[in-house]
Amino acid sequence: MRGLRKYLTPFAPDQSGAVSVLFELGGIVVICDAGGCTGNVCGFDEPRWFEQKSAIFSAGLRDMDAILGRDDRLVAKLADAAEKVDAAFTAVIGTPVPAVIATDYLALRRMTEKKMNLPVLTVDTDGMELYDKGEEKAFLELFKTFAVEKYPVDEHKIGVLGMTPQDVSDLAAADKIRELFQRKYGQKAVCYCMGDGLEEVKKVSSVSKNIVVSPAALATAKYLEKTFGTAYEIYYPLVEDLLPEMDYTGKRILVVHQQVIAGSIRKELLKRGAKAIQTACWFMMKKELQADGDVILRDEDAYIELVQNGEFDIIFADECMDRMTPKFDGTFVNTRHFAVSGKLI
Amino acid sequence: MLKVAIYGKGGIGKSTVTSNLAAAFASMGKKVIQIGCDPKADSTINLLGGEPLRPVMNYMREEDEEPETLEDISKEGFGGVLCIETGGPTPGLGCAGRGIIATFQLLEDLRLFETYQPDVVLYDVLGDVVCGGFAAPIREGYAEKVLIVTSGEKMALYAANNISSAVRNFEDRSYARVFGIVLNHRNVENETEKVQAFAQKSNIPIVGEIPRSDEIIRWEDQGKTVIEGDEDSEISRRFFDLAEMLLKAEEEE
Repeated sequence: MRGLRKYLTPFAPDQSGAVSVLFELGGIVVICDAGGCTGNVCGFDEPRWFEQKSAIFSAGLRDMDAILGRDDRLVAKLADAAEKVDAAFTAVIGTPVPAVIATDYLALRRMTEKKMNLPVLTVDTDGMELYDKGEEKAFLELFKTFAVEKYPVDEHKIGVLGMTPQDVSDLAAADKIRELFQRKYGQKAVCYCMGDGLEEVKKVSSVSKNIVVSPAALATAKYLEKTFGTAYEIYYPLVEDLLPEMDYTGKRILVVHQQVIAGSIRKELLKRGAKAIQTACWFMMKKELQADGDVILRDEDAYIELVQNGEFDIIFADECMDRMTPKFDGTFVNTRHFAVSGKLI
Repeated sequence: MLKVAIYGKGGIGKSTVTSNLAAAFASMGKKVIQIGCDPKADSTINLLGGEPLRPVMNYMREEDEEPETLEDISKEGFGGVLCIETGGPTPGLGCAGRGIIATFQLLEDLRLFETYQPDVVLYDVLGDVVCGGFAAPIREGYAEKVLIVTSGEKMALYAANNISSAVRNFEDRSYARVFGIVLNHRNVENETEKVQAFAQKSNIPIVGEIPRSDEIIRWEDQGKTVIEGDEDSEISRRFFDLAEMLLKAEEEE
């Protein structure tokens, strides 16, 4: 049956991705839900919730709020929260409830801005898409709202766009990237949304180039190129850490991850002599990053068939997928993807 | 770009007014899009020779996927007017308001305005501003002007009053403003006086007046607007006058 899942748990929806982007930036983040979506974010989708402080609220919508469209109450709650929490901005994140009752985010933003002296972001996520779609919207909204000033370019500074735990699966990844660029190139790497705060977002025009580490950040990189002329490259700087030492010569390999990391692994494997590499993603695939044969996985059966028919020697994928193809007799390399398994490196 | 939403009580003649306005604009050389936002999906039928258009919601239901091109969900009618119908769910099921929102999102994704670059966009909306979905056409980025179609009938004026109040309530949301009333005559006793009294009380001008005429019905029976059927008729002139007034107001803004 199409879409039936026997092995994998449901993936994080778009509102969780949007929250991940804003999690560390010191704003009041209000998830426009009855409570369940916020529970998912804090209980499952955002691993930093257990280690770091962030002002995440549920709007606590009730049946009559939905029937009567009482978004004035939400505005009042936001104004109240803003008085009690020292915040740099307010963000309203959409879920299925406001999507179904057609909440007007632009109007909500206007009304909220009139009530409080804080920048207001709204992200029209609807819970029907996956986390990366929400990230894509939130990254754009974030940089469009805050990156308004042009700063002089610092040649020793680069930006890293697309860092969230869902995408890089390693809470220490940002530190590792900063250390790598400092050591190897004498450059300061700014990892937006993981470790580097809102002030760096405002100064994004000062970086000499951006590195895009997930497809969800590609639209933002393009926006920044158009707005400030900042060039961008697309790759994952820590890719070497993901490849165990072994002989890849002449091997046929399947790589399943988010598209940028999968593409970076492919490039590295080709350098190491692999014969043919196919990538597959459970999430968004940008056409410009796609090679012939790369596929979006619609359901578990698609992955199982791909492995059965692919004659692969090696599979790079999250360990939780290993049991989906018990007859595969090649080498399975556990390549963690938090968005797939909910497990970190 | 002139963007107008047409509201009014069910059966009052919104689709007739909208289609004739669309045809008038097209005859004046303007590039026009008409979007029917009624689950009945019959807004544009008289621009299309009486042939109904496949509504967006029907496409979604039958194909079980989103259309990839504008051609999948639109058709050019009289004078090149690009016709689109949102359609709606099976009566009694689902949510028609959500259907309108989903259609508007889809049209945005398909870059309708950027691709087609219209001079005029007309939204023909179901009866009343019943919920969030039916207010979507007057949100920021969509229609900027609202026309309310009414006759002198009590219930039509009641609906017109509801619509104007709803639009006023939305003022702090930067929604569209009411441009005026179109009086569509039904030969009610003292009709003009009744509508004038409402207009005065609500402080909304009467910007168009369509006399009761069999001509409209005769052309509609042939799947045509009056503009297409007889461009020089008195009724057609009324629509041309209204179209000119709207364009002039847009230019002045």
